[in-house]
Amino acid sequence: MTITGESITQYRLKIKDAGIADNDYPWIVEGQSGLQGTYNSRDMLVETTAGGTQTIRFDTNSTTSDRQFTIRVEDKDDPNTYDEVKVRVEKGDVTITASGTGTYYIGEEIALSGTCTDNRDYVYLFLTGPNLNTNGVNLTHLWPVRMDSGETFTRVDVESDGTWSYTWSTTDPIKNGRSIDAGGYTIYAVSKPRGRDQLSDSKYAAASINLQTGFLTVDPIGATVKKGTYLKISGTATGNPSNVYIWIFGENYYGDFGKLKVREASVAPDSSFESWIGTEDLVTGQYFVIVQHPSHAIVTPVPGFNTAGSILWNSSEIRGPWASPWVSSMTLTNLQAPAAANALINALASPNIPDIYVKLAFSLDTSQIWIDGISDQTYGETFTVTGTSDYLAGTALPYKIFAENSMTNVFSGEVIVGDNGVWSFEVDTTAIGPGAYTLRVTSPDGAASMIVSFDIYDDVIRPVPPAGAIYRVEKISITPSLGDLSPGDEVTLDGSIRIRGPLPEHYGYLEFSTDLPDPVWTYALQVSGLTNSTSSPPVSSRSFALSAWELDYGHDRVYVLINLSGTVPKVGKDDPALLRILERDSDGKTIPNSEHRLSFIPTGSSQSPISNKNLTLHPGWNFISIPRHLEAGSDTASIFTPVYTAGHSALRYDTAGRTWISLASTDRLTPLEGIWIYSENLATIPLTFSTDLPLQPSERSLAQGWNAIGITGTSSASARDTLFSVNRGWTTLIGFDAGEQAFEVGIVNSGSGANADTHLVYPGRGYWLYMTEPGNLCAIGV
Amino acid sequence: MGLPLILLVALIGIASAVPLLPAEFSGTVTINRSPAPAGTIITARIRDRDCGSLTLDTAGVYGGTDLFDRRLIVSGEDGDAGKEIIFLVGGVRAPKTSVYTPEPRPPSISW
Repeated sequence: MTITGESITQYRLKIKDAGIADNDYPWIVEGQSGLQGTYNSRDMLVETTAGGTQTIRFDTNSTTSDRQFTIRVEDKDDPNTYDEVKVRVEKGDVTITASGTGTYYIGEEIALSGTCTDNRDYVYLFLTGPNLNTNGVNLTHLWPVRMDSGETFTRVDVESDGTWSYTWSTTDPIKNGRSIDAGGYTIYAVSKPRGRDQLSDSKYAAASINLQTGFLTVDPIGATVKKGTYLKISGTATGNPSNVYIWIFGENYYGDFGKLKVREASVAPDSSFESWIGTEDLVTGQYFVIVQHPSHAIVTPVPGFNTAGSILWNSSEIRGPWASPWVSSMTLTNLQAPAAANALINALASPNIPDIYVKLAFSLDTSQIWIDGISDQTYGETFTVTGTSDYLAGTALPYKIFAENSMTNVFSGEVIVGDNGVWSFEVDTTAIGPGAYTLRVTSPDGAASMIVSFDIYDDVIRPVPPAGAIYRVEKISITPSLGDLSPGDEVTLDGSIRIRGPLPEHYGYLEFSTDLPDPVWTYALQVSGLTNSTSSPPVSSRSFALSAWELDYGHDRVYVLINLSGTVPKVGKDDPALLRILERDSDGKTIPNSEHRLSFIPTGSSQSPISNKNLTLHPGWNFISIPRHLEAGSDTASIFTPVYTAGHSALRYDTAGRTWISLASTDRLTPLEGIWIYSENLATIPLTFSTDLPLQPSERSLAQGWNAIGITGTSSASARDTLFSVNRGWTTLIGFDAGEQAFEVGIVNSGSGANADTHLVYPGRGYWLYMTEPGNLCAIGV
Repeated sequence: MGLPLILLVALIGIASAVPLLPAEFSGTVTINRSPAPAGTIITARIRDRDCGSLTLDTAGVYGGTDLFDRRLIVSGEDGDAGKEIIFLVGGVRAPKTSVYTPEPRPPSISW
């Protein structure tokens, strides 16, 4: 306030009486230039300068009443010479602002600022919230604040411009041995040292904040990790930790072999982290992983220990921080992996350990190689071997093909694993020839391999010899192959028949015949490896014979080499023979059990209901079977669900009980069993054959009496060959022609003519087989 | 559709004829005009020989027309074709009968 008057003249300056307590008035600040005397703090003598003016400063504090005051200046000697001015004192104010969104992770710093015009010196801060004193606590030690005890508050200087600022590190309480929970808090800024319950006589402001702990998510790693790959541990850790800690426990592995070791993964500004762990040197087995978020842990270092959040560790043991009575020292390296992991988890879950964690487990396995099933191959063709592997794309897998009889390596190479783990390579059958083979595909390190067997056929037929015959058909090759014959085709047959001994009838003979309409035969005898002079000129009759005398060379090994050519006839239902061999006695009577018969079924007259993995059902009753094992899940009678059976059941026959059993949808379908099923319409049932390897060939116990059997394999075979495993027990085999809805001519064990057991039977069909005694029927195909 | 069983017998000679396909039945069952309770056993008999039985899963009803419905399967033997099938419901002979015909569509029969 500036007084203007006479030069160098004393005036009395005072605040007029307002009828209030002394403390409620503003006051004249003592010690100012121009003050010449004091009546009291609000009434003083003031001397003007030579210029006739003087400026005097008044002051207020928080006790000063917020009201209007009258300030009067008067002549010291003449009070009637005066001037007055009215001044209004208003209460100061306090504000507070917290930086950011109001939500903070424990461990972060919070910038607090504001103004305080109600106290020029200090603003007093305190905090209220969960588990804190209700009147408030200071921000550093969380101690309760006390009224008028400014030191119990977080006291902040007020700048000359009335502003204040304070950076609160939310770790301060933790550093001072206190814990602070996640939750909603209120920070008060007060002009006086007052707690929440004493704010009535002060100016204050409050800011709400939300404290939360950090959050940890870890990306899934999968239940199985392949040895040799890198295991990626990644995820998100909020709350601004600088690192997360990764503990791994396995068999004699504690982050290191036999030693405890904790990995650190730095957390990026976007809160993400990742760590790659090589598994090449780890042993296979179960592993337990704990990813630890240190939260806001502040731990005083302990000599001899490293720090991972709140956990201290060395090469063998863990312990808690000094102040923690809850985590005592514990040796992990003498525990099994699960126990070591649990011990760490128990430590992390202890009271006052703020760290959070995520548990993972995985099984470290060796990568594997799978070879898709290889069907039997035909010589002269190139086929593709396919498979899969969980080795990485680009991995070279060595493979070798061995001949099964000699185990010599006949073919080898490397195949590269492609995308999605698929690999394939081609095999030219002409490069390795006919025979039985084993393919082995191995991993580069030899840790994984798989083998599969397959045959390469050369269309040479090696049938089971007739039980009563003195000869044995060693091999027969047919061009085109038997399955590719069509009426009108030229067919050529080459055969080698070994004579095992003299004919029982000295004047008997061995007869060769065919149903080719225009046959041309040539034949030769080979004795002890030499083809002798009995080589024949071409024979154009339907049959020819070699006498016992012609075939008898004593102990020398005798072969009949035959060549037959002609035109494939149209084939009806009488099942003509391409080649028939039998023995006759001197009277021309057939020697029992001496016939070998090779039927030919031209293309288009297939007798098998199986085609391209589909089972065809004709309208009416069908007598069918499953020729090979079906894939699990597709191997029950439920595959027949789409068939409209017009109220009929699918039926199996219990020979011993002589009863029929209706199939339930869950009943498994297995090879070698004949099933009756009715279909109202022509229907096709897709079959999913098992690709599991190795597959055991099927076997089935047969009881005495009629058995409903099935035929296995992928191609037709003679009844004799098919039933060789029960050769002693079977007498009659009867098929059912679903197209004609009629039973077929019965095949008789060692029968002849229309009942000969050289007639073909067909995979996928069912047959009635009569057994005179129990027996075990074995599959002839897998 | 009949099967040529006579031809079959002639061919097989020493062996007996192949098993005849069974007859199948489904329908409703009442006892004293009330549905027969679940657990009731129905037995089929041909020439005094039991040749099939079924236990009711549901009171008063058995079988159905779907493939996997549980019907009463009657397994006849050589010589049974054309013979009468009698039925026992809970051990008591039912008034209705049927004739064993190995191959026609399975008839529906109720008692």
